[in-house]
Amino acid sequence: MDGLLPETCAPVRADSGIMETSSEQTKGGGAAEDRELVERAQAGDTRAFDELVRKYTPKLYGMVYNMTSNREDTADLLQEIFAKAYRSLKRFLGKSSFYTWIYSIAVNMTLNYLKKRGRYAKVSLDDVDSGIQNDPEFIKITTANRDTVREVNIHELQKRLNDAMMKLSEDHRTVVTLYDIQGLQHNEISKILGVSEGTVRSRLFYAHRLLQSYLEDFVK
Amino acid sequence: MMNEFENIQSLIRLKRHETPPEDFVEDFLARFKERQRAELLRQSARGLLWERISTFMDDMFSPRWTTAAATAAVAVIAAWGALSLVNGGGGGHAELAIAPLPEVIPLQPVLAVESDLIKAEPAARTLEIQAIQLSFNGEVLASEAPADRLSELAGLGTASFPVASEILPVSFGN
Repeated sequence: MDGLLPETCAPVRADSGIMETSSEQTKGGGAAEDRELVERAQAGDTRAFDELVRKYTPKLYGMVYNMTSNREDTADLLQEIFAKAYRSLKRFLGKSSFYTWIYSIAVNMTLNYLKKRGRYAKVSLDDVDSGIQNDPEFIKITTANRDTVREVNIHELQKRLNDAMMKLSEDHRTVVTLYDIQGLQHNEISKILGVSEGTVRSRLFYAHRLLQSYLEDFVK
Repeated sequence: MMNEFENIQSLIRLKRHETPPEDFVEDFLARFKERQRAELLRQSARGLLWERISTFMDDMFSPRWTTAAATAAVAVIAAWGALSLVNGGGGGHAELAIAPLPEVIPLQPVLAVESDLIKAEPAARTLEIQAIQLSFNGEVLASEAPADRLSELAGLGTASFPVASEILPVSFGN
């Protein structure tokens, strides 16, 4: 399962001690590659769009899944997102990167979906991959909080994390998903959400404070 | 400097280990392509219909005349609507249209002339003036024929008129 999410989708910041690979990779060679694929897709090359779908499905899956906490809804919503992107591709002029553009579509459609779905929805979580056992952050947490986390199995941890995320407002959950789980930078989130960087930072601050209170037994 | 939320961020970051099944991406792509094909078919059917309608309309009207005709049609409809309102809420014409027809339509009056003079007058016969009578208040001023004869010819019996009349020579026929 480790191989499913590319490095760009499993971002880790520099301050965590692991090489940062998130959107910076997309900004460099990824952006040029995207531009070429987009131009080919706009010219009618369906294989080029397939490549874009293949490339962005894992990234967008992570975003939608962590917003909805339902894998079936995530798969359906992703179909809608790519279908909309395909229909709108002719109008994409390249003023922003394809990365920002498709994320904006995905975030907007997910937020609209969540509004329609309502607050209480069925939770359907993906399995936690075995890689978590070797994750330095997991090890760090388990060693730092030996008395608490060691007593909690991974599934219990997953449930607690998910419950805490779902307690957040949609705006707060969005920034936490994009920043902490997806590894996007403040300026990228600002462009995707169409808000200032200050707003992004402010939302993150309050979201982290809330999460800390929800999960205080893990982070003491 | 240590971030005050570093621990909670590290904890939340573990959620990236929640992942879909390994073959999810390829299955997803296959589903997406199938969906795109279905949508393409729907679009081409709609597009074909629209193209045919557009071609038909283009043949029928040039854009300039189409605009003019549409404007005129709107004006006519608006005028009709206004008239209907003035005539009592638009029901007048409709009421007339649905009113039953009378069972017997009255005949138009016909002017029937029954005269022996018109019926019996042969085309070749010439009307001859045989006498001229002048009178004033019933008093005959001059006559070249007996008065009763003249009145008889005129079909007036023996009555006289208070105003003098002058009978000019008239002839019928060729």
